[in-house]
Amino acid sequence: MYRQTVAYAEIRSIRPWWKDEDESMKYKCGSQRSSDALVTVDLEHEGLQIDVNSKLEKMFGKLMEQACMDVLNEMKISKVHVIVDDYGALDFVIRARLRTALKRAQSAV
Amino acid sequence: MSNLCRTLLFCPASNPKLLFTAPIYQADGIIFDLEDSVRYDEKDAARELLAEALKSIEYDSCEVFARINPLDTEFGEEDVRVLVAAGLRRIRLPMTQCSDDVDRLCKLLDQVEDDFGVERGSTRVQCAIETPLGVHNVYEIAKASERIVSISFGAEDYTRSLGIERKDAAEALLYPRSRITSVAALAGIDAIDTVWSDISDMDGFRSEVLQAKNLGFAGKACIHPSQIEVVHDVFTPDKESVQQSVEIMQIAKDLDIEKGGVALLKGKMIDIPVIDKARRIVRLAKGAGLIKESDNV
Repeated sequence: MYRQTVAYAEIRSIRPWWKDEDESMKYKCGSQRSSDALVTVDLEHEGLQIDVNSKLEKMFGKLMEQACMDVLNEMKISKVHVIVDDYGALDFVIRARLRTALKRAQSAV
Repeated sequence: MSNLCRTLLFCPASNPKLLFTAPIYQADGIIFDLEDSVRYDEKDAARELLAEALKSIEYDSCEVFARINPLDTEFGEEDVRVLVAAGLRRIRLPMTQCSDDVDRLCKLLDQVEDDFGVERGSTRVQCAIETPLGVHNVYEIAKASERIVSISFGAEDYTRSLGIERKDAAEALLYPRSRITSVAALAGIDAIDTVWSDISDMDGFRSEVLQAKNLGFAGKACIHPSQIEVVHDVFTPDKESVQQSVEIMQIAKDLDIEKGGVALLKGKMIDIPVIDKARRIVRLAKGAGLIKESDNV
């Protein structure tokens, strides 16, 4: 019983997977599963930068950037570095992943 | 009564692919889950994913529910606020134990609907009865609000409360399942039966679906697409009973006995209970596409 209690306490204190180890302002949301995207944001970035890494970048890169811009405009964020690692995500998934990553970063400020 | 709800397919809201592939399986409804199937540190991501899906995907005639986190957790109220704003109009309230639980959700819905310019009362609720206390209070729960469209039974938590194994619990579940269907009939709402967790045991599943139908449930919650066809097969009326029901409805209309009086059809008496049963079968047949709206029944 004692061992279980200790193990549980340790699990509860572990940093969430979506917070970068270097304790910077980089936060993540998403996964590398099919139809998903892993979105990383850095609110300490000077200016606005969106990088899309996708096998379909030539076909849909602009649309993915636009999905990101929609969320950034909605949340009134103009200084951020966004990295989208795409694994076949539809627009709504990219929007959701980005919004969550931004909220996680903002809640830590 | 609500729309057709023979099958409600559970899907974790944390899986992006399921948010747009789930309707393909043609369940009558989908319950996107934010509660038990979603990791603690992914609750926020699942909520946003479902909200964006609701804004982007046309689910057509498939009713979309969200099983929110309980309101006494840090996630429950935010689930309601974000999802109603995104267009959700069906909420499944887990672990409903008394009318206070319903009141709390309905007060929150009043406030959220006002905040986002949504028509007051348009968000409907399905209450999940999953504990002995919930079963005890199910009548007051079912009558607690006009928003409630159905009550559903959750046998996994119920059997856990009793300390018994789910697979050996058929007799122990007879009381709560019967009580829930009786109360639903009294309240004029639908009763939805519990899930069957062993997807490899389709014979056991079919047997429980048949029992659910005979107990008066309107449908059954499913955890896997392979279960949908079985439930539809059991809950969809056969052509003979549909034809007979159509004839009963026609005679009732022609002789103006829908609110009282009797008639004979092929030697069998037709009165209000028979007409009500025929109406229910016609509703199911319409929902299943056996009768088209243009047939004017």
